Amino acid sequence: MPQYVQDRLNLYDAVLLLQGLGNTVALCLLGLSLGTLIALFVGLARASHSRWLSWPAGLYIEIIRDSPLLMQLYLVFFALPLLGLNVPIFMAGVATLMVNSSAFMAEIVRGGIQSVAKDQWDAARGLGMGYPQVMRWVVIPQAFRVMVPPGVGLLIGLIKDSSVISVISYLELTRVGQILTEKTFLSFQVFGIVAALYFALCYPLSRLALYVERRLKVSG
Amino acid sequence: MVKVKNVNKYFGHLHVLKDLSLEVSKGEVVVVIGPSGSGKSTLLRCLNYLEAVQSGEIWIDGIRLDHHKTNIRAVRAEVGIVFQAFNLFPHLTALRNVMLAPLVVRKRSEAEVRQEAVAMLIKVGLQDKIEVYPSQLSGGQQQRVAIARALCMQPKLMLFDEVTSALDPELVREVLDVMKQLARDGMTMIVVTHEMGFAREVADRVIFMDEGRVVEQGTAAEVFDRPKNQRMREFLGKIL
Repeated sequence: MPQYVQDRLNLYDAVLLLQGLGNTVALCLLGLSLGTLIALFVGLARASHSRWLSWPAGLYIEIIRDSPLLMQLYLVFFALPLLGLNVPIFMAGVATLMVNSSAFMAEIVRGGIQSVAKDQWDAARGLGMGYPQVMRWVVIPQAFRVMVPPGVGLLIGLIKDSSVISVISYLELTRVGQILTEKTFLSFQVFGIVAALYFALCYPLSRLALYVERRLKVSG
Repeated sequence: MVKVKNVNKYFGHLHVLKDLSLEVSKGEVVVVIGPSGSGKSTLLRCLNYLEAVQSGEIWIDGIRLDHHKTNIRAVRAEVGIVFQAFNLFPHLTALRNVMLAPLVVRKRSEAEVRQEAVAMLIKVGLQDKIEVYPSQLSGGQQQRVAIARALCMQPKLMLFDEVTSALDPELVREVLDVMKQLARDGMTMIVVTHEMGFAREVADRVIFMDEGRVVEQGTAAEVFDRPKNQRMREFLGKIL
């Protein structure tokens, strides 16, 4: 065995793994919450009766939904610099997650809004409420219930798919795993740990969603 | 209070209201009857612009209902509507259902609105259901919450769209009793209903609609006991 090959994982590697985990959390937290925020507006536009709003929103959603996450990452990281826009590596990852999640989440928002019966609009309008008030007080709270299960499913999926960002050499969890296997050849152990760390991120989210769902069901 | 002048309403090719004119004065209780598809519900929905009319004029308390958003919202705030299917907000308690519009539309203070909403729910006999969600209420109770919700906006006019049609027979009375009380208190009301007993008891005027037109109108006694119109006679023959 050559000198530079380690035969076990040491403390530095553990620290590196935790760093990777932290970076993945930072990427997802920023990218997915920004994406969800954008999705709220895109979804509202998509559900709107105005063609001027719903058509562009639909185009945006389709373009992003129907192209691979990896290509979106490449476009942000490699193509934008060609236009003179240099994107730092972390921001490229965040932007990609943001754009990608916003399109999928927008469809979930639209579905939620449209799941609320037209009767509810009649009742709210009949009481003198305007569009923003009906949305804020009547439609969104009811749509939210419908949006939680698929929304959390989407977030969990994207947390795992954020591993794609390893290809631009950002030191997130998967990239750290690759580096450590190259260093130690302990593929099974390293990737086992990496997978377990992803699980540790996603499982609580899953439980939280179930809890929220139950809480919402109790009230009415 | 209400002035409808030569109104025409189409759904696609379907001509639902045909050159319809109608006036209702303050404090009057008008009951609208007629076969299904005669345009009764559509008329009510047009009166607070849940549906737009293609031609003609609708005036509510001196405000013309047209495409102006401010007019529409001002009128809607003054006109309460109660629906056949209750349409309560399922994510809010009975109390919150009643409080919502005064809070967000009228922008009144929470404490004041709460007091009034509680009083309103007591008035419709739901003192023990204040913190209950709609799914835990019977149809009659839900409909009374819906009435309280409309009343809490302190409307000048109340529209009732077949409000007892979706109720079990034994629950109809509790809702009608609330409406009778309201009529006695002097509320201006337009009531679309199949409850002829209610019409006889409280209606100042009964209107018979058929195929988008007002075919006959008069006091309950006139319309029910001495109908002039053939269609009216047929209709009464079917339901009585």
